[in-house]
Amino acid sequence: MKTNLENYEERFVDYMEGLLDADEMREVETFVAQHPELEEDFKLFCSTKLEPDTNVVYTKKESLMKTGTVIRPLFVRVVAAAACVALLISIGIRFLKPHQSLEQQPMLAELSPIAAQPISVQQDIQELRKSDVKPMSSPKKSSRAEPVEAITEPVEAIETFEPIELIATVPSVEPKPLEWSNDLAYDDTEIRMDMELGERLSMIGPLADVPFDIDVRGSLFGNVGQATKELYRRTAKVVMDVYYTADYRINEAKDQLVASR
Amino acid sequence: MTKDEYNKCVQHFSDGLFRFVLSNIRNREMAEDIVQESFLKIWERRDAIPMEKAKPYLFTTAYHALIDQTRKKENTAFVSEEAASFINAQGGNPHYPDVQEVLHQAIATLPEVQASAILLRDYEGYSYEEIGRILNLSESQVKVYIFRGRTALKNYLKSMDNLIDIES
Repeated sequence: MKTNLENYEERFVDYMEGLLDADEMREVETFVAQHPELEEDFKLFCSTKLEPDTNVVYTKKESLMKTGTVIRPLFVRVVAAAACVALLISIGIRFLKPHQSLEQQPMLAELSPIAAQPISVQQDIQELRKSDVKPMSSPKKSSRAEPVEAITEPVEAIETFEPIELIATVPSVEPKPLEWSNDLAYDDTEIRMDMELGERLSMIGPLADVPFDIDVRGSLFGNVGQATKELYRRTAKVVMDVYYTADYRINEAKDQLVASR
Repeated sequence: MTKDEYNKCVQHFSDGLFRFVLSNIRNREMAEDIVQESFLKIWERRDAIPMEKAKPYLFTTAYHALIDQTRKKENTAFVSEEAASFINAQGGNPHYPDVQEVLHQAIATLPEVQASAILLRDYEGYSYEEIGRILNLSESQVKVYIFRGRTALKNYLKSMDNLIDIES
């Protein structure tokens, strides 16, 4: 095929695309030399090759890698409970009794994923007990069979009680670090579990009331598993915030107590 | 595809896939989501996908996600706004020489099929036949789209000619 004024653009593209053999390339170059008014177009076509910017990299490779470590059931259970709690809080459950004890605090303690930052609740409690602070109510054994209630109560109590009352009712349970898996890799089983959880969550209450910008129904993150995973993480954070708030108030009350002596 | 092969795919293909998507939509968050989604899909279907087909599969999946994304009308304004701020925020992308910067602005204005064909050609060095398989087009359709895309890029460069010295 000869280059002419009808087909020169197509030939220029073929030239820059490397689709022509040596003779054809020379033929195009000769054509351009004979038509200097088309030289600019020829050069511009030759400039349309895009080069990837190798400084642009995908920085989340680790989250995509599969390590083979299955997320521990404990993780799923605890975070599922946390997700339920956050949902219940968010839709304004208000049947808590201020005089009830914080005996179920172990659920919160158990949720601590930060082993390197031990919570001094136990120590504080022992110290304060030594200083004869009376509990507001008699301690009961905690019931872990009802995780939702277990966490919503302390949350409400924290908001309602004065710090000193809070101290007195914190149970004497050793805080346990959560067996928190950093492996966010999912396999099919986990995704299925998440989808089931996602369905259950969607039946609990109107998701529009969830104070997180997550669509559990999945479109934003591609599927229910991913969305639910995101919900887990944010919910766990909320629960942890509540826990640390409690810890902060305990310390605050302790300082007041020391100051008042 | 085994788990190890999948992990190799992440190591070797995620950067290229990310650049391909990012150049199409100029929105980092959306591009990351699409890459994540593509890898999730290939993991779910790993038993059916041999290693040698993994890369085209990833690009095909990402391409479909791109089409879905840009079909959502509400994103259109956001994407172009994002593209503008992306470019402005970088004070002109420092990593690109001038022509490349203009080309990368221009490629985001092309229809996905043209942009994707050109990006697969230039970034990944795919043949027309391979591009056709990824985009579900015939070889001659790929040739037409690449021609149209290059012509649009050429015209874009020409329109910017007064602002940027192409020769430099």
